[in-house]
Amino acid sequence: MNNHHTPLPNPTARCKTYAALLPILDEPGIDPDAAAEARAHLATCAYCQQQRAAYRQLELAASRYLAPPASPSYRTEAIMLDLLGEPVDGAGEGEPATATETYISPRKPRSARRFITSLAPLAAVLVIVLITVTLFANHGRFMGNSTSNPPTPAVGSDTELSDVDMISPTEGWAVGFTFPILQVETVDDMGPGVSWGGQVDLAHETVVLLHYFQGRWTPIHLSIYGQLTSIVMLSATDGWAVGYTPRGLFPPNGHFNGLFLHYDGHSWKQVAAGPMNGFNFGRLQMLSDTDGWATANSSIVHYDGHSWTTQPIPASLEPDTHYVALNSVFMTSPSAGWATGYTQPATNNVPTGSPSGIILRYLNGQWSLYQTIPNALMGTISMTSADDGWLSGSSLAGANPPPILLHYTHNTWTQVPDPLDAAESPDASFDDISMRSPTDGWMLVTMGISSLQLGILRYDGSQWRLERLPIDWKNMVPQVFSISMASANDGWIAGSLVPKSIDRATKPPSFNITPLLLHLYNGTWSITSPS
Amino acid sequence: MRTHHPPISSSSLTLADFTGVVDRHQNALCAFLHHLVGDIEQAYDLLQDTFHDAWRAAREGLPPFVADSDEDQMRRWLFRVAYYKGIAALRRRRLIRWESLDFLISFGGEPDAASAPFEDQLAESEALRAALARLAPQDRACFLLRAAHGLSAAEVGQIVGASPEVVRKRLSRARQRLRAIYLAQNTRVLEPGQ
Repeated sequence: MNNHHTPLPNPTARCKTYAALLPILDEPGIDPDAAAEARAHLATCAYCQQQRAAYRQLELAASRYLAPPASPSYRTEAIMLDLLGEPVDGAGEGEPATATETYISPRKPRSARRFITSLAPLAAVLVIVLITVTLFANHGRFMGNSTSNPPTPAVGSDTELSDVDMISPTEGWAVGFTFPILQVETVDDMGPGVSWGGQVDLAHETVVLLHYFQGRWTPIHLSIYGQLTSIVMLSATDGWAVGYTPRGLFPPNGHFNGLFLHYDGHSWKQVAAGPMNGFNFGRLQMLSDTDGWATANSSIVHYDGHSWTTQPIPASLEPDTHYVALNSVFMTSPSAGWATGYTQPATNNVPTGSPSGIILRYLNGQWSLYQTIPNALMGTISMTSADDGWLSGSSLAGANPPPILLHYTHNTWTQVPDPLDAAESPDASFDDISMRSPTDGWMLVTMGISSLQLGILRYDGSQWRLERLPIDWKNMVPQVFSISMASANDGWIAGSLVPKSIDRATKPPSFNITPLLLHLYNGTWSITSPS
Repeated sequence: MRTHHPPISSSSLTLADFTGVVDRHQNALCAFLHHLVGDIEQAYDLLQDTFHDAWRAAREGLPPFVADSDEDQMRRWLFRVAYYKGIAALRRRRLIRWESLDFLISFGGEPDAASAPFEDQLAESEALRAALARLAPQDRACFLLRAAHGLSAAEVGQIVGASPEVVRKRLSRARQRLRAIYLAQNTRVLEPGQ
């Protein structure tokens, strides 16, 4: 910087008269006589000319350093996403959640296991449910006291990944959410061995979006409260994701608004698609940009390219006297498809009978009840064609019921023999299914509370074979929700790692839950983490 | 706290229209708020609050956020809300904090290599910002709106709730103080022939 000093001219006796006018001499609205007088003085006064030059320099500096930058900061999208956390339509019904309102997390079940653990119809409404604890209800005996680090490079960030979809072995996307923990608590009555749970600030969960490209997972920043639950990539430049954002805490203004995002090859943008009040989207299937289907708790919803609409469910499900949960939808064409879930007699959302698994069929423009399986919960469905598909579920009959696997062929759903042996089967659960072809299928399986191993069931066209994942989870419990195969020998699993025990005194409070990404490459599964 | 949102009226802006409003004005508002409160993170918060109020008005079909509304009216409305939010924030804080120069480089635009060496520009801008911080908030706002955003004294008056004459007085006072502080901190700008 140049620090030369140049002597200033001395002010005259009249300079003080014009001192206040000099800085605004060019301003419109100045008294013309006063301005003319000042200019006459300025023409003959070296001191005021110097002052005038200084003011001009000041204006130049202000325009250079204080004006809006030429390059916009492009916060428009973030601003709008934040604003759209409020309901756009039906505004009188909703309100934004506030930072001061907190409650215990009522996690939405996303898998058969979650349906089992959150069977109480109270899960259908916004009530106090220590679902994080209930996730441990089947795993409680593994609570321990070890504090050694988990076998993952990712740091516990209280993040869970709900879904993954690979476009190719070198590119894919995963979605989920991060939840702020308000308090870690001791819980004595949630099941054997379960000792901890806590309060999650559901109003401030934030969506998580990860992009895998050329060997690296990278978080994509989205300023949206809520959860992303499912993602479908139609191509590398055309993708869709759904989830939900908190609208308020308690009925009638409470619950959720649906979240609907689109990727155009450059960025993800929130899509306005009609009223989505109460749409807590589950799994999504997009047949095209103008034909999408999803489950939304007790509903099946359809996207026609403009808006999402709730589809009528069969009257035979008796929704007035039964709680209905829909878990999975799979369309084999725009005019045909299947949906699964369960129904349970209930009065005011209080169960009065046993649940029954349901299979719904879409034909001729309407959904009908195709099959009922007593004492069961139907989970994920995956079809390879209109004539071939698989469906996982869970039986509730007996003390140690085995998981259920149904095969659709020759126009009939048939239960196939349990591919797990007798020692492994009790309390095992079948989770996500991904069928690449009638002779190449993959299914996630969590095996029993006694061993709690994560496995893969592979279908070769004739039988399902169990492949154990040779990973030492140490003091963590793996929860997996989605599998996506980019090729016959390259795929990913998304979920989370939950510690068996946590330090309740940790500040800030944390469950230390870590996002989990498992990669199959060259025949070996390994743990990866976002960069 | 629960609030009631009436239905959108037929004259309301569409979502696309409102997004356009945000797109056109967020940059200027953010710059104004940043230099008014001297803290970019707080400026972002105030910017979001400002658009939140605008969004609420748009949903209620209130002018100027209605179909076929005048763009200048919307701009004045936004600056006025931003101004009062900034002043309120300063009253709560009663302290101007300045950040490192790193942000200045990214937010204030790329240095103009043709006009002055990079380090000189940094020093100049730092001097200006430091001088700006020593003004009364109302004077600072008037100076920013007039010098950095090109609004007339009448428009500035509508934004800060003062007559054009009062605005000119504030502008005069602000420029005199800035000149004096700037002179003391950055003698280079006063060299003859500059």
